Formats: sequence, structure tokens, C-alpha cells
Amino acid sequence: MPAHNTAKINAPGMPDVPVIALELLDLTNHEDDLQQAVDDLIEKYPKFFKRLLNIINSDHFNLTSKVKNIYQAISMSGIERFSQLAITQVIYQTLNQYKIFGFDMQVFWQDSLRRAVSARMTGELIGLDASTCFTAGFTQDIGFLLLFLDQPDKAALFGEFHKREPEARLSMEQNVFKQQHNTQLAKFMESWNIFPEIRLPLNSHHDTSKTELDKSGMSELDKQLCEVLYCADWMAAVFTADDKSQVINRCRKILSEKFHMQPYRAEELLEAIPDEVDLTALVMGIQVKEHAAFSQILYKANIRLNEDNVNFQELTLRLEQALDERDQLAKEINRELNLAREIQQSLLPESQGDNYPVNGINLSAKILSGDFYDFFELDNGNIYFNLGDVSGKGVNAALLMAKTSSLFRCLGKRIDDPGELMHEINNELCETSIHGMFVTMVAGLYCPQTGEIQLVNAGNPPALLFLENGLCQEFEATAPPLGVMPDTIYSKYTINLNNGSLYIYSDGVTEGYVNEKSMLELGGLFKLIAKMDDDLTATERLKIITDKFTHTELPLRDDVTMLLLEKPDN
Amino acid sequence: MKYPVSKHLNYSIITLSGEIDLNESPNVRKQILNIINNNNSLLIDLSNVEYIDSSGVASLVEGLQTSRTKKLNFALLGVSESALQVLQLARLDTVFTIYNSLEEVEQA
Repeated sequence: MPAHNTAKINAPGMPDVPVIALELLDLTNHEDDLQQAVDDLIEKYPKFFKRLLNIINSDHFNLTSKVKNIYQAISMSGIERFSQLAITQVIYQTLNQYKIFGFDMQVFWQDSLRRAVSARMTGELIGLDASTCFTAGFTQDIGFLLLFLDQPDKAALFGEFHKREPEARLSMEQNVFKQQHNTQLAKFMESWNIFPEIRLPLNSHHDTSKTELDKSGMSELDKQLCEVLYCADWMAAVFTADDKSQVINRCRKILSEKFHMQPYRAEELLEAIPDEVDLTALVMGIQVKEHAAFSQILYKANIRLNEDNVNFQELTLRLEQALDERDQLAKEINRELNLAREIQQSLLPESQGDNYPVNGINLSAKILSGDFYDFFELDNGNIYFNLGDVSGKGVNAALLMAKTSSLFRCLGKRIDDPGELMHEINNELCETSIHGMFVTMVAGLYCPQTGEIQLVNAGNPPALLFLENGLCQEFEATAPPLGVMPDTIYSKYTINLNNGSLYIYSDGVTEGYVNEKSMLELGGLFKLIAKMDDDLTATERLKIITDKFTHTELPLRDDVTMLLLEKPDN
Repeated sequence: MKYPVSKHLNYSIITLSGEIDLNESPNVRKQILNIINNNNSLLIDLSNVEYIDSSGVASLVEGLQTSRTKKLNFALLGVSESALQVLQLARLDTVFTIYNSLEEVEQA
């Protein structure tokens, strides 16, 4: 039952307005006999006015000095402020009488007090009237209670509403009640005919963007109150919302943006709320539950922030570790590849100088090469030489290159017929063929005494013999590459080198790009060699050719290998 | 890419196309070996191949070697000009059986 007698007015769904409220509002009409009217009311509601006097004399009301009676309070504060405070008290006493199963009235008033003291403290900081801010803060969410009063079947959701931050709560209200609490509050204030002076800020306090405020037509003071109420909503939510770190951060942001408040000052305000609520509850006769101190809330929020930070840090750490591991692995692989490259380079013969009949060059497109060349002297002074190209590239090609090169050296020392040597190597490779890999090779045996060369071409581009008279002979492959078909017969060419130059090369030379569009091709190689100065050394000639590929900005697409046989000058 | 496979007589025919280079060769190799390992004689249609490098040729060589071990037939069909040049240069045209058309396959 309501504490006061009520008067029925035509406002469906709204609580009946208590007679005392009407009587209090009527005081403004007693300018001439105000003291008498007040005395009459005090006589009628002695307890009510005793409590009101306590409230007025408390820090809450912020009077410069204590007052002895209500009339003195009205004289000091003005009838409007007094009336607001009295009506607030009536609202509490009236609505607190309702019982809605599932709706925790005590928690609701505690939240209202948090909004009220938050509004009062913030308002004071910007020079607004503390009491008006308190009244507005206390009243701003009355509509929330009225929503449940109107639809009590939704009361089970009270807990869900309670733990949400203001914006989420508003949208939940819309979903659940198909309207929001400010609509209910507006109806309420109209039906009770109260607070005409603060209705606008109360109705608009959820949208405080500059555009909305400018559109509202409110006075500057009202706009400020509006922002204070908006802020109070978030400050109170610090104590109720689930995601404390988010709400605290939002509070800091709002206080900073709207009131230029430093974060530490914002925290001081929030810290003061519980004690202020307790004191105000005491003077207003509102029972409140024990609430967590802000330091505890901050601790929880920090834990949440810390947890987020830890998760983020952990992710960053893992990512860094993964990157480190990758870099480490890449380093190891590179180290291994460079070691392999060293071994591979050691398989190539050392240059014997320009006065030696055989000179070679090898440029690899990658760390490891699939091309190779070799030459070595037999006991009788004849020189074995070869140039090979393994199909594909990379480590597997390099390993097959090493195997073939070793076979050549090993078997070459006891087989002095190049055709037979190739036959043996081919059979060895075919026995352990893997992935169809094969080796094209030009190999030969050069007799320095006679100048005769026995030459075999297994699947390689043609060897080119440039004669003294300017003519060129080609020695095409007579058999497929090594490692394809066992028992292949490798027929030999017998060539007399005379004073000519025998160029042997891998397909990386003829298919090498000399600019973005063109390959050197066989014709280009012919021309290049044909116009070389006779005085050039073998090394210089080879370099002129390979420079064609290294002097472009294009990366080598294939290994480039060349061998040049010429009779020494002396 | 997945190359189309069809059937003709006792052969499976896989039709390769585009550029068979170092990047594409592992894919070609896998598809060729997959057919052979299912005990199918294989014709490789190279008529649409624009370019083939030594790694691509190695896939063909491996197909040939594996087919021989399994006593299956393995041949090339309609080799494009550029692919033929590569094979001829390396004298690999002497290693592979090459048919110019399906009629030639039927008559063989």
C-alpha cells in the first residue's frame, strides 16, 4: 500500500499520485501564506517533514548552514529546490510500496542513489545546483521500475537488465518491453505534474551528442544537466555491470570528453560513490545492500584488463617464438645449404690457368647447382672432361650432380673410352633412378699430343667447334641423357681440335635471358663467339658470354655452365 | 591443375596443357603415377603443351620407367612442336613411343 493517500488522475498504467505530492506542488500557489501552508502540511505529515529536515541538513543538500525548520529551509533554498527534494522523497515512498515478484526493489533504489550521487558530484564540479542534479539523477531511471510495474511478468529478467551497461540495457528494454524507460518516465512526470523544470534533460539524457543537444532547444544549463545524467548512468553502472573494465573505460572517456576530467580524478569520483550512497540512503531512510568498494571493482576490472593483456601478450609471445623458430630454421637450412654449396663447389675442378686446354665456368641460379663440369688428367696425359646438367633444380638435382660427377671421376680413371664410360655411368644411374631424374652430358677425352678429342653427347645441346677459318661444327646429342634407359649405346664423335675452340654449354646458356623478353638462343651464342677477339684468353671469352646474363637485372632462371677447350698457345 | 583423363582402347589418356615447368611438374608427376599405379597403360597427350622443361620431361621419364617395371604400355600422343623440340634435342624422342594420332595408336 502506498504511504500516502492517493488521488486518481487520468493516467493509465501510472501509479496514482499521492495527495501529499499534490499538496507539496500546491505550495507554489501560497506565496502570501507560505508559512501557514507549510505548517499545515507539517502538522498533517510530521514524520515526512522530520525526515525531510534531516535530509536538508545533511551534507547532501549542501546548505551553507543548518536550518531549524522547514520554512527556514524553503527560505534558504527556494521553493523549487525544496519542492523537488520533497517530491523525490514522495516518489521513493510511493513506489517503494509496490511489490513486483522478481524485481529487487532494494537493488533498484540503491542503483537510483548511485545515479543520484554521481549526478550530484559531477554537477557540482561544473557549477550546477547539487540538489537539482541529485533529484534528476534519482529520478532518471524511475521509468525502468514503471516498465516492470506495467509488465510485471517480465520481472524475472531484472537480473539480466541489472548487469548490463546503460546502452545494452536500453536496447534490451526495447526488445523486452517494446519501449524504453524514458518514455515511461515522461508519462509519469506528466501524470504527476512534476519537475517541469528538468523534464527536458531527463527525457533526453540518453542521447547527448552535440547534434542532438543542439536540436533539443534546451538551455545551456539543461544541456549540461543532460550530460551529467548521461554520465551518472555510466558511473552507476561501474558497480553493477558485468564487464567492469569496459564500463570504467567508458566512464573515463565520457568524463574526459564532456568535463575534461583526468582519469585519476574520474577514479576519485567513482571511489566516492559507495560512501555517498550509504550516507544519503541513511538520511533518506532507504535501505541499501552492502556494496563493493571501488578499489575492489577496480581490482576486478584490472584483472580483466590484465587477463586481456596476458592473452594478447601470450599471443604476441607465441607469434614471436614462432617467427624466431622460423628464422632459426631458415638460418639452419641456409647454413646446411651453404655447406652443401661448399662441397659442391669443391667438386668443380680448380682452374689450371689460361694456358691449360680446358677452362670452365658455372653460375648457379640457386644456392645449389644442378649443372657441373669437370676435367682431370689421366696417367698418360690425356684429359677427361665433362659438362652435365641434371633435370630439375635444388637439393635433389645437386645430389644427383654429385653422384654423377663422382662416378665420372671414379670410373673415368680406369675406362679410357668416353662412350664406354657413359654406358657404365648410365647403367649405374638407371639402377637407382628416382623421380625420373636424368643427366644430360657432354663428355670427352682430349689428347694434347694429337689434339684429338673423342666426344660423346648424351641429350645435351650441341657442342660447338669454332674452327680457325671461321666455320662452326655442331655435335648434337647422339643418345638420350644418362639415367633414362639402361644399356644405351653412346656413340662417339672424333674431332681434331687443331687451333679451333670447342664450346660446351648447358641449356641455361641458350635459354638464358639477356633482357626481359629475349633468350640468347643458339644463334645469339654463335654471333657472340664469332665476333670475339682472337687475343682474348679462354677465361675472358667465357666471361663475355656469362656477362650477358649477369649484366641484366633479371635473376638467373637456370644454371649457366660452360666449358671451353682450346689448344694452348705454346 | 587437374588434367582431364579419358579412356581409349586399353589406354587411359591424360591431356596435359600449358606450361609444364618446375612448379607444375610435381602435379603432373602425381597424376601420371596415379594412373599407372592403378595398372593402366597410359597415353600422354602433349598436343596442348606450350612449354616443357627438364623437370617436366623427368615426370614423363619416370612414367615410362614405372610403366616398364609394371609391364604396362606408355606412349606420348600428338606432341606439340615446342615439346617435340625439347625431346629431340635431348634425343629423348628415341626413348618414348610417340603417336601422332589415335588412329596410329589403333594401328600399332
